[in-house]
Amino acid sequence: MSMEIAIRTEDVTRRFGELVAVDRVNLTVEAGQFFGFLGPNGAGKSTMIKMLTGLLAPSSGNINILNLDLATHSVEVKASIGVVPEGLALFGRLTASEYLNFVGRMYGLDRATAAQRAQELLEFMQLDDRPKTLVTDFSHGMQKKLAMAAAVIHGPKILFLDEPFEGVDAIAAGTLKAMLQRMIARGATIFLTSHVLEIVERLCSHVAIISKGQLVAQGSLEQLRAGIEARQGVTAPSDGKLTLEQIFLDIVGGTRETERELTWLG
Amino acid sequence: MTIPSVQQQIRLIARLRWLLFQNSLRNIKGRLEAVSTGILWLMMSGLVFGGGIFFGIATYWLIQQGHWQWLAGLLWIVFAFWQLYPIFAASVGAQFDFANLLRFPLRFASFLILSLVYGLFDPGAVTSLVWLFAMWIGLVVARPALFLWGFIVLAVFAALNLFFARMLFAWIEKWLARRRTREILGFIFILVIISIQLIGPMMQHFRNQHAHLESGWIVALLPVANALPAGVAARALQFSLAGAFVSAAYSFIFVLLYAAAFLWLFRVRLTAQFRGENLSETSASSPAPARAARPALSQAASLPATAKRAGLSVLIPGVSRATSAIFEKELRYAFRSGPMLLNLFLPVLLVVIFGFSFRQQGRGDFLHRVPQMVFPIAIAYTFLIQMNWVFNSFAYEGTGIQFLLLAPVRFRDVLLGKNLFLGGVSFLDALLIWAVVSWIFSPPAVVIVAATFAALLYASLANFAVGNILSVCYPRRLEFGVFRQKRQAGVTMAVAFAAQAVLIGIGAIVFALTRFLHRPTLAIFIFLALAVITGIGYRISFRRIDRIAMNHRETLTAELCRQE
Repeated sequence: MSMEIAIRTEDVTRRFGELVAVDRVNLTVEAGQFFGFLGPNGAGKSTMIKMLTGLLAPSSGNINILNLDLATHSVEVKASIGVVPEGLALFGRLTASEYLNFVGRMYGLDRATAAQRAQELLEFMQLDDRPKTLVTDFSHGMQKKLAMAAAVIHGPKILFLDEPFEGVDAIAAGTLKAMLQRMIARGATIFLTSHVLEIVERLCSHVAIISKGQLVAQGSLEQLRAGIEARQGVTAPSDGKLTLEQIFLDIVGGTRETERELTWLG
Repeated sequence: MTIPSVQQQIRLIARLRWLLFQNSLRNIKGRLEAVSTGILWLMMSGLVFGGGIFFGIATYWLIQQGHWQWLAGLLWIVFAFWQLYPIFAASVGAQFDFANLLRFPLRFASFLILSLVYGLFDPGAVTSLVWLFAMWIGLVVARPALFLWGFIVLAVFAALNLFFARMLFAWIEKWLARRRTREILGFIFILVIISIQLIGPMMQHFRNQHAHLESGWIVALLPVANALPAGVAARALQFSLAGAFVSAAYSFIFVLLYAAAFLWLFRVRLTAQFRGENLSETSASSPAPARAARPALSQAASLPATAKRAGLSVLIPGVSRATSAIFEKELRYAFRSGPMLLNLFLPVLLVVIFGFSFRQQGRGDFLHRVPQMVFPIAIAYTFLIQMNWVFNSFAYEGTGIQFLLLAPVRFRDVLLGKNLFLGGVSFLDALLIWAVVSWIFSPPAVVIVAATFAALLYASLANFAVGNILSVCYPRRLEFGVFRQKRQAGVTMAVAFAAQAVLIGIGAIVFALTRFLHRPTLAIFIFLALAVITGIGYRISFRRIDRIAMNHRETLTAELCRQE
């Protein structure tokens, strides 16, 4: 049985002058997957997510979202996806309700539908008790919840999240996770980047790892574990399976000798 | 580890500034920015050196003629210019928030000196220093014996100005740290500016109605002016010119005391900053209270109270929902920011003020000879004031620009919403100005009104065509009510200036020509023809704006999402 492809990239490359931030990346994400996109700092994660959402043009290569070419069908693609970018993309001078209504209308919802969904989302995110507070006066966690609410108001088929849990407390993180799991249960695809490997391990069914701009691993967690064990003859620790952190460090080469380094550090 | 000395730290920071400047020249945008800033400085050099010549000659003449008391007037001009310039024209100032340097082991002395040196590079300060230097030259030429004394008095007066400006800035920054205070002060600030404009008409009125009281009023104010910084500095010079050196020394002591007091107040503020005072607004946000379980999203709710609170909903016929939504957002932003709203309707207020002023002036001026031109001139004035909004349309979007790029809408729809809003405001302003002109002067002839509205249409379309492209290619993030770092892109300023000059120049030529030919009706047709041309230009730029925006999406997000 062939699965529907939500995201497919072909040799996607992005250069910034001499620097190749993303180098010929071929990525495939099937519909309905909870996909974690990992990599060390500066590996090209944010560049990749910006290209996938149309915030940045690739230098070369093709991006297909829901079988549509992003370069030629950007408006149709954007109508089907939701994005929580790094900067949250909020309008500080609106109230939460006004902002969600505005976003809903920008996605083509009629006023009544936008208003109804906005209210439901505000209640779900526990943001409905500050009707007159401007977004600019919200705490970071509240802004993140609002950005998430805005990203889903039109019922996107794919949700892109750039570091959704960064700077968010445990309560807000719980709310966000509950929403994401609800979306997955209803067949949506979620593509997230995060540095918190424990969260990715707990939420994501599939991951891809990018390092120095190149895709170095892709598959389900089980596939990645099996790959490492087969390649290196490593067996899982006696107390359980290889953790995502171990897999990640093994793939990106995160371990190194430090004895000879920084001796002056004390 | 040894901490670098004050001199070393200052050298390091000067080097940092130089490297920042050098690196900014690496790309075309940076180079264009540098060239534009250079042009603006060149334009300003006329004011600097022209003013310098005036101050030098005026000082020499006043001393030679024995009108020493008027030296205070010159010093008051310098004082006012030094203090007011950064507020009125922050656009070409050096921008650098060196509070960021506090994470380094910076000595307080370095921090203090850097803050003061930074103040010296403000164009207002540079200009004022040149004027003071010119005054000193004039003084020395007139009275060579006062070579040293004049230098000391004027140098301390310059230091006093520097301390006062920095002190004022530091305290205002503290008051402006909170958004609400910022907006209230912004509102008051604009009202003060309007009030300053009112001084002229009021004085004129006062002169006309109560000429006999005027001299008494000024005489009553003189002792107060004499006790203030520029007054005491002038007295230190006046007494020395009269040979009363003891009195001159007493006055000079007051100048020193003022300088010391301002420096002390500045130091108080700076010490708080040095100790890590955080003026950020984020601490103002209190956590949301704990809540009960969340409702399910699938439950259909009736249209609830919060949705009703979302308030008005604008639907403009003939345009997309996205354009209507943007128009509505612009409307909300305008009503939510007092200074912004006031700015939009400021032209009308200024026309009222100037209108009364011109009416009270003598019969010889242009507007009295050609009263029919009052309305078009007032509209041209309005047009100039609203320039900033058109040429940097995304200034206040912040990270919201990402949403505009991510949303499934064409960028032209976004810009159309913004253009419609500003066009609507301009039209409304024009109607109000028509009412004001009719009230203060007389109702302008129908043909002039029609020609003016046609001119407004032609110029607005051209403005939007150029402004949309500049807004996308050279965006600059601005904050409501924040005076620091309030700077348009240099390219935007230069192009906007040229565009305004050309548009208004053409308008003036058309009105002059049709008046000369005694065929005012012809102006309507010429402006409508021009509107067709600029309309085509607007349409062409409009069609291309999606592609231009896509090509500049990195610039837009990098510039507007930048953390200050």
